[in-house]
Amino acid sequence: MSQPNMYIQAAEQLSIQQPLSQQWMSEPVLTDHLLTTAMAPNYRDFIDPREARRMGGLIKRALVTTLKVLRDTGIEHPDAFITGTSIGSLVYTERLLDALDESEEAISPTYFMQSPHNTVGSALAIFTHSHGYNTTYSHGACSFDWAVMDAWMQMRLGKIHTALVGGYEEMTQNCFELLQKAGYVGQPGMVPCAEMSMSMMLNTQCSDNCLCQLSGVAMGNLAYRERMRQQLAQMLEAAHLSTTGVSAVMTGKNGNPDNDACYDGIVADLLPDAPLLRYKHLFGENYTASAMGVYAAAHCLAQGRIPDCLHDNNRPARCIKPSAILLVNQMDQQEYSLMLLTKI
Amino acid sequence: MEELIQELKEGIIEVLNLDDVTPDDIDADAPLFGGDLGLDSIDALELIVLMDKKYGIKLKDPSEGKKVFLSVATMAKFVSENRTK
Amino acid sequence: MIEPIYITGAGVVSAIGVGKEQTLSALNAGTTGIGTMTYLDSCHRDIPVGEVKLSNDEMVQMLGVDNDPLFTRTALLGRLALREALDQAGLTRDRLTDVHLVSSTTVGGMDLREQNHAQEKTCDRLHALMGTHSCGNSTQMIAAQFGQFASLSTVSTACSSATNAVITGANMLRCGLADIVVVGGSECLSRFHLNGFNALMILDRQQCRPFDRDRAGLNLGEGAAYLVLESARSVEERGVTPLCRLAGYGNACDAFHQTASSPDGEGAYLAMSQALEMAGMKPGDIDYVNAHGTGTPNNDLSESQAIKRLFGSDIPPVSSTKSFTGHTTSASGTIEAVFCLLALQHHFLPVNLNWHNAMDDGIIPVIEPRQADLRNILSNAFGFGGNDSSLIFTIDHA
Repeated sequence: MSQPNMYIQAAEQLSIQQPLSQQWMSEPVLTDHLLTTAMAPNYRDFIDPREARRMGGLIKRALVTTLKVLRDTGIEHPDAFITGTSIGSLVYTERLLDALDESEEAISPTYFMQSPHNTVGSALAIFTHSHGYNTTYSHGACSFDWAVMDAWMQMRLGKIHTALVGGYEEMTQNCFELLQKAGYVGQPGMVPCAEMSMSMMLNTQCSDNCLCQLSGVAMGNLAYRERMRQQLAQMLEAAHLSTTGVSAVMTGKNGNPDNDACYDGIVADLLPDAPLLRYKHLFGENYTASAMGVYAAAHCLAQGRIPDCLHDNNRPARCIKPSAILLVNQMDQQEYSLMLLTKI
Repeated sequence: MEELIQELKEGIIEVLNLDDVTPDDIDADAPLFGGDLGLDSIDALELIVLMDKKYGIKLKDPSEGKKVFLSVATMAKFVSENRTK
Repeated sequence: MIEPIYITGAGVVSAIGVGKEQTLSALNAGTTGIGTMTYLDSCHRDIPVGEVKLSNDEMVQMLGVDNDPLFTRTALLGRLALREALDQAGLTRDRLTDVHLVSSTTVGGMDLREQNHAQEKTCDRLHALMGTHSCGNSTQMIAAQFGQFASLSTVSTACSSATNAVITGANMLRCGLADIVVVGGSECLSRFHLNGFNALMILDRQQCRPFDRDRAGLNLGEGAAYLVLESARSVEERGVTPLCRLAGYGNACDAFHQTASSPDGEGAYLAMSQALEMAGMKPGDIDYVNAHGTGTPNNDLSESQAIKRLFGSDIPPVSSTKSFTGHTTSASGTIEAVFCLLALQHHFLPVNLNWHNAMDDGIIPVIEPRQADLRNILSNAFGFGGNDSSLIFTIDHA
């Protein structure tokens, strides 16, 4: 099987940080709020208000980051739209639940039609008239990672050459409070719980404006550590890298001791001496936060620098011109993903 | 009737999220669907919910709605003849 | 043509039975599972549904596990189906090290959340967990009883979810990431989606009538089904006998509307065409089409157009088995895949119940039970937003 290279051609975000901008690299917005909403872009630059009138915030943000990436890459109809979202259009879901608590009569159809998780990915296709492959992963904190994996597999199989892959999540006060009780967010010392939209274009063709190469992706169960090590070894071999060739490891540490200890364990197993980066203090925690890690790492590789704000002070990656960043993501301390991004 | 027409226009703008439309923009005799407003089948369902919630009128299916929702004027006539609240 | 992807195990639960045996006899007898609402607590008692005829407690007993207040109905249904699939493929706990699971759901744990939603403001941690149970948690909960899978994943594309899980699993095999992937979906009925479909006014107050002139919508159903996909190498190594093959699959987006299919069925046509192309088949090679056939005026017309476009004047036998089970939404793709498998193995055409009159410009489904030597079956699943997918199953007769 021929193995095409895969590149991240563009990646855009809406989050706590300045919309559609890499300003966070020099002037990060820092917040100590437990729950923050995404900073709104000028929607009218992208979507006619009439067309957007039934769309919730999640879909509007997903559309904006997607349309920006499509504009910047000049790819009108990517071969695939692959979406990661764990909780989808939560606002509409809860509106329907609220309505049902009142009565099962006179229910608005809009709440329901906006609530399935695939509404995001299909809205992107409907808006751009794209008939290509379209699917959605809703697998908790690995939702986005599976979306990347899907694109990666199909590129290897030669089925697609371009894929718009994204991670999208929103939050409500009510759901935040539930997640706080469940211990997932809002604990003392934790990064804020946040909303995020990240769209990126994967392309098997390298062009001048590509940010970096996606050199590998692997998923697995943390019960099988040896396999995880093998996956990394294979990934490095395919990228012609040694373990010391990895400039830094970017983890999803969020200030929750159990979560962070899990990352420490994984890093100790994989690359115990590598400098560490983190991103969730900038972009917040939510299920598809890993998309923000990929976004941040891709822009670091494109710019050939790692801004101070990304350093994990336990083992900072200072003064490094990055050539390869390994992203580690874990879900419920049971499952993991590894992604290797390398400079072009 | 004028009052009901005005009320319906406001209701339509609200439930269909027509943020950039004012009641004066809607011609009471112009077709609601297939016209400038760009309404679709989901909007028709939302109007059925509006009829139920606000006027206590239950429409059984979208095809019944089609005749009622021809224009704001036909809606007003139907509401005044059938409202239960 | 692609490397063979074998199916070496299958498990199914739906309104027409638990397991393949009960399912087969109901399909052969033409006995529908759609009836009066018994387990779902909704005021819409007049709406027929395809419920699995088991309470949650009964399912817990059948599974032989201790009850847990966090068990969702979706998870229990999923476990029943997954157990049957793993058993048939001979995949015991110690073998799961190398077995991946791609499950799917949309409703997930909504059954528990909707019961507790009104009290969420003041609820305890247990109920907070119910309120935040996600699709991924659903997969974890289904898997937990059987051991540690090599990896877990969850697809959620509404009514085509399970079909797309099959596609993801098949791609994992073809990329050499796995030798065995269990794929499927599970979905219980919830007030949430019953009321959602009701608000869209696409629920039939009578038994659904797919492809009938007077069809008036769908009936919702529930259930779960899993297939064990296995590479040729693994089949040989383990010495297992394949049940059939997944010969091709396609996924395309209708890109028309969030809840309606396009008049010409573009997405459906593309998905079916791609599946044929991958299988290296011509339309004439298909012996039976298991249609998406929900019974809504829109779907059945759109799907008819797509089928006519693909097959021209030579349309193979078509039926919608949703007239037996109701629309089992996220699980329908693999539930119907198991029906296709049974049809291939037992040489019969599943009928389309409740059909009386031809619709204008529509296809005429199989209504009389009949024996047929089937080799290739095309199965469709279309989801909201136009997430359309098709699978082709093939049996290699000796």
